[in-house]
Amino acid sequence: MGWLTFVALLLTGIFTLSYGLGAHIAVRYLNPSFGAWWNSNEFAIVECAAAALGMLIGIRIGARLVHGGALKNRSMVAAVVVGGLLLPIVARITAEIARFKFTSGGSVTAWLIDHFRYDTGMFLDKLLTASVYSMKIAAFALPVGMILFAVAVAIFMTTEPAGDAADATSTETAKE
Amino acid sequence: MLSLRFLVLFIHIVAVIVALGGSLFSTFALAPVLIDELDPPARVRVSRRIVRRLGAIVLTSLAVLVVTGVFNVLFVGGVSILLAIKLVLVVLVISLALYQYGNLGTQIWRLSAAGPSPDVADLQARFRRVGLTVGSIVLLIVYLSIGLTRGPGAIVASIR
Repeated sequence: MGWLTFVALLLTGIFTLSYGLGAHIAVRYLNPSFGAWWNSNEFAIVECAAAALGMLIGIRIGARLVHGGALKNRSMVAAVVVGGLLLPIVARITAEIARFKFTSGGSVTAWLIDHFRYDTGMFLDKLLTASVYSMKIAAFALPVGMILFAVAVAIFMTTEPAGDAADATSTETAKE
Repeated sequence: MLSLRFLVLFIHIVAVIVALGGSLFSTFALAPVLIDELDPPARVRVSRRIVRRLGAIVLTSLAVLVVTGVFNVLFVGGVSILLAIKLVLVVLVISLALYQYGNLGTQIWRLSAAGPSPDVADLQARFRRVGLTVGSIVLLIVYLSIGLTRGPGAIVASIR
């Protein structure tokens, strides 16, 4: 889980910065065909990586709130698998919600241009907009991750037979 | 009347009723009757089963709430400050419900397998307190939802 979250965070950071800075030009300079691929896919990767990051953080927060190693581990694995399958849909929907009132605002743009001059100000504005967009996607995906984990907990909780409770208790306590 | 938007809103409201109604019934109707009518071993046997079943119902209702809530936001087509506050409260409710059923509920389930004990009674008291907190926040969310659709700064009205 730690590695998955780290990869999602890294991808979100790299591709958000790349989109905000227009870094595909540098990649094109090194390898034109790879640069073209990078340019056409970086925005989709930003959305997917941010949604994955949000869901993973949600699952991890949920896991911290649950007691019992076996229940927690099974629920986390199930939530991550289902989250992975739903990622394209979640990324698309959360990106659409994140685009509502999608602008850093005229006043922020004006402030940046005032303080850093036009070229740098506009450049920083695009970087800020891309960062806010990624954070909004991750924020909207977070409750989705939490709820996937909650449903997994509910399923695994109810499927444990009532009669075996005493045995399960001793076994799971011993494992912990 | 018979649009997808209405259907989603209907399911959203039904999910709130199920989640909140189940918790309130358990806290204010079922628990006092169990205390009055059953001896401690039988009461623990019944209540540990209820914790599990209610946990599954409440957590599933919250999942339905989140999914239909996302679609509602898409239909409304805007995110206001009030909606942002509501979303933060929703995350808080999911966290508390997970703690209530996934942590306290699981501990009650495991400890009560051996019968009644002071630890179980203590956990049950905490379970009720967290449940009441969740119920109060859900009521606050319902109030904010009315503000979103019927209040002076209603996002639906502004889009129209």
